[in-house]
Amino acid sequence: MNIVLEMRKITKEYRGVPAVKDIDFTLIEGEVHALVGENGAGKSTLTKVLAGVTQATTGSVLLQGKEVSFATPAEAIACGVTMVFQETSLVPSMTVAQNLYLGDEKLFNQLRAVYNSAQQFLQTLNFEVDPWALVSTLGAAKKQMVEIARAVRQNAKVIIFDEPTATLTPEEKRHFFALVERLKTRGVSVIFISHALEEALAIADRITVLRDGQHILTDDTKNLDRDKIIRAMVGRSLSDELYSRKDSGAGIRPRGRKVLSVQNLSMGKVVRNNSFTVYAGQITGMFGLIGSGRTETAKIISGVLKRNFFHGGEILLNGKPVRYRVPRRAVLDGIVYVTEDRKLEGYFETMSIAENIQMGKLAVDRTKSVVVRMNEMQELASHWQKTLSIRAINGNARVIELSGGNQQKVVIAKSLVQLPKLVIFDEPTRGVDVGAIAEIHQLIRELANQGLAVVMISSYLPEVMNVSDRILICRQGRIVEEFSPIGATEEDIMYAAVH
Amino acid sequence: MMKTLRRVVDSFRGSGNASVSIPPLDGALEPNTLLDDAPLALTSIAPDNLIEVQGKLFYSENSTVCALDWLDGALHSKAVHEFSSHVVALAASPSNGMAAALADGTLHIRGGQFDGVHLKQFDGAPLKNISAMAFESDGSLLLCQGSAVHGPESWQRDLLQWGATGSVWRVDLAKQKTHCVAKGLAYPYGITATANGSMVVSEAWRHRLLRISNDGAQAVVLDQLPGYPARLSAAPGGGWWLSMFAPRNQLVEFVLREKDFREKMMVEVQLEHWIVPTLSPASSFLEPLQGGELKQLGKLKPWAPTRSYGLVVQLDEDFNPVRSIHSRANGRRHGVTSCIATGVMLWVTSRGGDVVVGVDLSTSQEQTR
Repeated sequence: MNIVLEMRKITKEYRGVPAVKDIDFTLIEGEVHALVGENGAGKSTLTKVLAGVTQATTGSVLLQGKEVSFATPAEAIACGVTMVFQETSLVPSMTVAQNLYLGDEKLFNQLRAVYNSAQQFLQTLNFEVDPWALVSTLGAAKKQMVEIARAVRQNAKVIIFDEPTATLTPEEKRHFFALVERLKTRGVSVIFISHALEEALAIADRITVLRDGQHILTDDTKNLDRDKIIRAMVGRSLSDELYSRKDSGAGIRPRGRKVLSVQNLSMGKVVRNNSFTVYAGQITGMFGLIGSGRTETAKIISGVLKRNFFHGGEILLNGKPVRYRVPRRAVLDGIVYVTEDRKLEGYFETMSIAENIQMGKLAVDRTKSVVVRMNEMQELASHWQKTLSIRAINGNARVIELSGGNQQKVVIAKSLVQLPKLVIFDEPTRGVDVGAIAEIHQLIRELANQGLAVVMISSYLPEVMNVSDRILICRQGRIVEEFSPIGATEEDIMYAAVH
Repeated sequence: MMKTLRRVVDSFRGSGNASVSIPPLDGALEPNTLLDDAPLALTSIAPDNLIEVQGKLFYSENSTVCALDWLDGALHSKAVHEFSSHVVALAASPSNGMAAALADGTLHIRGGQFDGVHLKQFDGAPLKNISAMAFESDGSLLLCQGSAVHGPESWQRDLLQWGATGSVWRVDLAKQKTHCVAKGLAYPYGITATANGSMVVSEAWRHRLLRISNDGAQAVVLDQLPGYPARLSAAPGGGWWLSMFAPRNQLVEFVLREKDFREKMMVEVQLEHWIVPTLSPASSFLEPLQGGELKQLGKLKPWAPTRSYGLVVQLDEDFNPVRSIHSRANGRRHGVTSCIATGVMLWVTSRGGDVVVGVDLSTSQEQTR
């Protein structure tokens, strides 16, 4: 058993508050080691120390027996430690091939050779990505593939994957797992951070659980199961909260009045003759594979995108036809869209929680002066922080400093402050830990209980089945089928989504 | 002026009436398989119009009117009236008789106050295509003529030609006088008299229900239906039951907007292969699979956009849908042209599926709510 990496008593403090404290961690050559924990548990901090993104306050890192301290990610890469970030770090204005070879260019580059080599390399990984495509034109899943490919290309000894599968389809996930197996056989050690515990259980040799910045347990995967891990992660069993419908036998909310009627909505080749209805007081779940047009449909409804001018279909809000050119008109009419890509579209990362929530309010309340009273803003923020249990050092914390779950809650608060009548959640728990997932699910349920019309787009089947009152299946740009969450099986739903 | 302008803009942009827009089957119309799951069924050849006279059920089958009995948990039928031509519509009279309209355009009364009355001419001319009938409380008979151009067997041709030659007639059986109440309707296929003296007609090609007052004024009570509405019947506890004989289909809607193609298809292609709604599920291997939209791996998808479907909708007193009973794309009990509710049972004639079905509403309520 050859230990490739060892971290001893690692502590990292931000303004005197420890994000991780006295963590010991070992990585064996050729193993897949899953790192799990709630958001804010310290997984990202620990791996960022390892990858040279930040430096530990105290403690030491040993790479193949030698103590190292990486001041920059470049130093870590040079020593064979690479991190694939959850939010991609690709250059959007460059092509896939250029991104793959970024930082590794020769003095004279032969374009054709670069693209051919990129194509061959991507094919060996079974990633269907066009090397000539601009990264800005790629979807989240493809960007993630390029990011993974770049890490593999750097011939790393240790690769850290931070939520690598969050944006991948089931098929792409299979390719990814096969890739990890191949890396293992080449002696590469993998640190795998994921909120999908089933994936960690399936792929990892060992699992380490962190909670509140502290090491809770490390054990072989064969000695662990989902419940044990969750108990270690949150200190209590969350199964009841996450799967409340099945366990408590809670019924389906009756539908209220018709709020939104979408008829034959079309936009390019992505949304094709899509028709469905959304009712007040119900959670309408929308399930489909990536690329099935769910997000685009939601964005058209909320004015982010425009439908076709010719044969674009109709959207009726409370029986009246609407066509928004900008999201603000939709917001004023009571439609809010909680984005799936919170980093890009959800919040202003360098602003505080209070400022972000105030920005949401500004969109609907333009009667007031643009000069905002600080105490009003703080009051508003503290109200929402309390309502949504947003955990931060204080209200002035910048959103970028928060964990994924808390960032998502800020995005939700920013939308709810607009007092909507129809809320569209797009992948509301992507990149969110299990503790925060239960809280967000509860929030979504409460909104429906209050009589709001709620649409929840999700690629995670258990989530759709346990939270929704009705499940619409989207395939190739339109709703093909509707299921009741009671009685529908995962197989039925997947069949409809795929075929 | 504005209407014309709107029409031009709509045809240019593909919006409004020019859009190929089909309302989704959701809400009260959420699909289920209750019609296919119903165990109580009687095989019959193209059963059509169901009526109830003195607590007994009758239905038409070709040129026969049959009585329907439910004994020992099974359905039985017995021919009670035989006619010279196909029976195309039936109505139960308040005096416990029945009216039967035939494909040759004649009207016959059997039993009740006007037993033996026989009408051939309506305002001096025979009717071409009687599609539905209903009695008013005063004994007058309301009847729909689906088309003044095409007979009952050519309903698909009428649809492809955007037929709007249907009419509604009131017949005073005592004086044997007839009066045309409304004209220019797009295949009226169902009619019922309402409490306030007006009548409600289902206009199949325009996918809507129309209220027609005594003075001839028309008002839409329900539109944007996802299928072609057929006959209406009163529900025992208030409200109505509406049968729909075929689903709307985007391919058909598209074809309906392509005049040259339609005309060529009607001339050159056999009727069974026309792109039109049908009453029975397709069984020919020539049926196009529409690029896998209908079948995958040999399995017909329940949500496939087929040309036939089985659908019955319960409407409240204001004609708003409250629940529905379905036979989906992969079912067989399609082409429902008539239904009637008695107590907790709903009786349905699936003309396309060649079956009369009894659905127990007391067990189906939970599933369809």
